[in-house]
Amino acid sequence: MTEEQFENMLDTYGANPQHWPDEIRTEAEALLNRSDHCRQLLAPHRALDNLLDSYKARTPSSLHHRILENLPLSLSERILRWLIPGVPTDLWHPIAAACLPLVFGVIVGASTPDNWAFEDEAALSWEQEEIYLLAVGDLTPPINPRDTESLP
Amino acid sequence: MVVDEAELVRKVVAGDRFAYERLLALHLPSLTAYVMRMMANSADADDVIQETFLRLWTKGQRFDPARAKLTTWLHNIAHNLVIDYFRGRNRLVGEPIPDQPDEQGGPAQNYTHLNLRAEISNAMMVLPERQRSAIIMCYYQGMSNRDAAAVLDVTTDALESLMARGRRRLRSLLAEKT
Repeated sequence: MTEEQFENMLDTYGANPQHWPDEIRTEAEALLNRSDHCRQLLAPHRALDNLLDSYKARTPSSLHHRILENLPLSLSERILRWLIPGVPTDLWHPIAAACLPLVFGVIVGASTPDNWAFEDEAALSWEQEEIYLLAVGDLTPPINPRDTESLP
Repeated sequence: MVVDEAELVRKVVAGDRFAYERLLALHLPSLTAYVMRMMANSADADDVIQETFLRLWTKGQRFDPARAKLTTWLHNIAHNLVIDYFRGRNRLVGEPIPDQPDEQGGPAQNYTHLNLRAEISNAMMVLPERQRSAIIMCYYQGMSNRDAAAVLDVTTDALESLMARGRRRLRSLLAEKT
């Protein structure tokens, strides 16, 4: 690196070696160590760097929150807002999970065949009677007459 | 822990607010610093920052991790919004939010500091947007010259030229102070 190139680098990146590109930093620092002229060139650039360092950026409060608040809502979130105004959108998933058993019950109920719904009272009583007869009936196998002959 | 930003952006595109909040927490401070310095801490800078992050939510599918880092992509969006803002207002910046005095130091010292900051801010605002942007990205944001060049869509040589011209102009504008 020549002294002219070093000066161009200062014009571009300033006096702080941390701002110098990685590819030329080592070479520039080596030149700086051996050249009085280069060391003299640093002063005005360092002064500008100090001024630039005092230029602070404002950090607005609650910007993070405002950005999240202003995000467009998905269809499901808009429906939830319409149903329950003021509910935070991040409650959508727990509410949906809580409603799932209810939806499941409705679906099962709607898809059950009619004869399971005990609407036909005649069929019900016939079935109940069958069950009763089975319960009280004698279901033991009939006795073989030859077996009884051998008894004393 | 290394954060896979490309994966987080994919989740954001799918509507994942938690992924969005993580990216917001990662990039908001840096983008805020960039836009605030580009717009002299104007109150309108808040809107530009909000719009930048809204684009991440609505147009995240346009981010290509093979072409650029997420921070480069976001800086590019913010830069274009700032340019649009100045074009719309014929290069006039909105009313700046009053600077806060330093915690330390007396009233006289604070007054001097506030005046100095106002002078630097004014000098920065005299620079053309691309020169100002190049200086802010490389000097304040710590971006590499390659990434900053990608934001401005120029070669690294052109970026260095923008920075050199910008710094020379600042030195002449702030000659009495240096």
